Amino acid sequence: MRFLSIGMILAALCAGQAMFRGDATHSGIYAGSGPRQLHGVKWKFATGDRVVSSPVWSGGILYFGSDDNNVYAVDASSGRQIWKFTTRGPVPCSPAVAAGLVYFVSYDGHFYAVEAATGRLRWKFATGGERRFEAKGIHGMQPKTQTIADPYDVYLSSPVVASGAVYFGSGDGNVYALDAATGDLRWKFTTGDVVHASPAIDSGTLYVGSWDSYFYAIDAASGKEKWRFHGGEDPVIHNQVGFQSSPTIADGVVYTGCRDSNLYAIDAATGKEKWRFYNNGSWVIVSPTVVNGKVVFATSDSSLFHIADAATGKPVLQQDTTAYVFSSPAVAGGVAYYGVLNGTFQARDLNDGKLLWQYQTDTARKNPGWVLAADGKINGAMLFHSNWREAPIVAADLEFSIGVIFSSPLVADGVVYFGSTDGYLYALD
Amino acid sequence: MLPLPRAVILLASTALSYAANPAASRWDGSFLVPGREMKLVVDLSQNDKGEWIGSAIFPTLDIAGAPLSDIAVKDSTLSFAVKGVLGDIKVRGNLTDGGGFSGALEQGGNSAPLAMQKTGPPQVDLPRQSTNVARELEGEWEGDMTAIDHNVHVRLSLANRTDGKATAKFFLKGRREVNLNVAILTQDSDLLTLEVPDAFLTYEGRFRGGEISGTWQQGPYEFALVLHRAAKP
Repeated sequence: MRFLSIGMILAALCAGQAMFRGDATHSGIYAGSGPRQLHGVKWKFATGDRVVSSPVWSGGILYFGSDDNNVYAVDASSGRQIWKFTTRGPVPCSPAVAAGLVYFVSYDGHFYAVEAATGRLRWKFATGGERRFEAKGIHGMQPKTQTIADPYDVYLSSPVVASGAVYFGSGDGNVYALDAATGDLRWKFTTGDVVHASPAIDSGTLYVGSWDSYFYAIDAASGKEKWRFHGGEDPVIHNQVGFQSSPTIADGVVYTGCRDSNLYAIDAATGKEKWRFYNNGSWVIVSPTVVNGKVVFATSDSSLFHIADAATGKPVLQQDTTAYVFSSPAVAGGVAYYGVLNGTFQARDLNDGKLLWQYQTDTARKNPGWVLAADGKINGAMLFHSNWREAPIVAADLEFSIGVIFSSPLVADGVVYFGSTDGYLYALD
Repeated sequence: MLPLPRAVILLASTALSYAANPAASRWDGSFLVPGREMKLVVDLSQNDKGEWIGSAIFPTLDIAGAPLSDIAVKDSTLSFAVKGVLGDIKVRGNLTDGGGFSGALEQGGNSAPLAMQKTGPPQVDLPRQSTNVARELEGEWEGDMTAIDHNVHVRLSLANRTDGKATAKFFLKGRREVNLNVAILTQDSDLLTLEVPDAFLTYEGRFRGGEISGTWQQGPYEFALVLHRAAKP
């Protein structure tokens, strides 16, 4: 850690809560406007490995994790590092910031609370350990009797903070509630598989999906189940199963994507399905954004940006994103911002869905290994030429190496921030 | 003159053919995509009718025996395509004085320089061909299989052709209706094999007692499927 200005320390101490997609309901809606036209890269901040984490903003400071095992605090205006905290594993989640502490999960199997001003450890909590979702013959990989980790399970659960507790999911299958000040366990709720979605909280209820194909509503105070909702199953290749998407809550309705190709709207009080939007075999990994009675989301394989009616799920418009989208759309000033797995970052007008601008990372422009076809689509024929041994995993790693954008953007003070697998955190204005 | 051993005659024949056609050879080379060198082995030859035939191996991409198509050799220029492998690949270039090839390889709209050298006589890996089937197998067959959690009704049409290569089509009716043209169909004794590589599908069945009893294999899926003579539509 270098010398800190008094101003920076005060800013960190006085800052409010910040978490994945802005708040505890994961609204993804940011005050003010982001760039409607792209002027350029304001700055980019280098880390030692891919940045899957989505940055959060608190008091002019950005907090985010990197797969280089560190969590960084960076001055949002200058891109200058304030501190970094080193864990013993990658940190592909968004930190949450509340009451002067920064909370996050690391692949080392610990949950951390560090001081927002200094990056000093306040406490840490050992979970049952992290792991990726895994299954025999997953996605058609061979041999089909071999248990293989899912290379597309790229995130860890981003914590949320409410009522003096911090909540998060874990690869050990549990959802945890810890005392935010001390790290003491309040309760844990056991699901049937990995929980890497980020819980959302509203009116004392925690909402989160698991890879066991259930979506849960849990009483935030007691940890008791209120209801559960069953998503699709895929017992053979385990491709169309599990909630990787983190939910959004708006007007008493929970919206969540699922790997079973649906975007679901579920009554928050009862757990009854209101509607589903089926995407023909294409995962919905993003967290939807609900704005002005519309749901904004995007898909993986079909590579589409969708706007649907929030009340009925009826499609309003769709646009081609060129490649898969895992990054959840951030909305500010009538514009949706999100990253794409071909290494581009896109801004679309919410009224007509038209592309306002896009930015491509340097690595993606160089197109190592011809990961991309000339039209910017993922060059699947070149990448996924074999289902055997580790070839699909190596291919996915190669695909991810070109500066793709898993990170969900945040918008603050006219600037949009996001991470990329090229190891940089970007600030575009 | 003493008779030459048969092997020597064959070798001489191959060598003459090799010498007669500058493009006819085994070619070994590589193309450089950004940050990665890819190996390529190409075998080019001419058949009895003088038509160009060939196959390709991509050792770093798990591909062997990919048939070449659209082969054109004119003066010192050579071009060919490899369809259905890595998308569609096109190669264009020139034979060089030193027994080499210099050109470009295109895939997915990307292009990279390709250089190859002759390394010996061609070893073309000819694609497998369909055979005709026994007369009692011709016609319409149908059956049902349980695909994970739902029923799929399968109808199969088999027809012999005068060129000795039978044709077949699958019609599937499950959650959706799908037509599949069988690319390679062979009968070896009572074993019938039908392949649709584009769908990663192979059906292997034994023709016994008036029915075809076998396994539908598609990617990692395997489902039992017994086909009976179809009722008249």
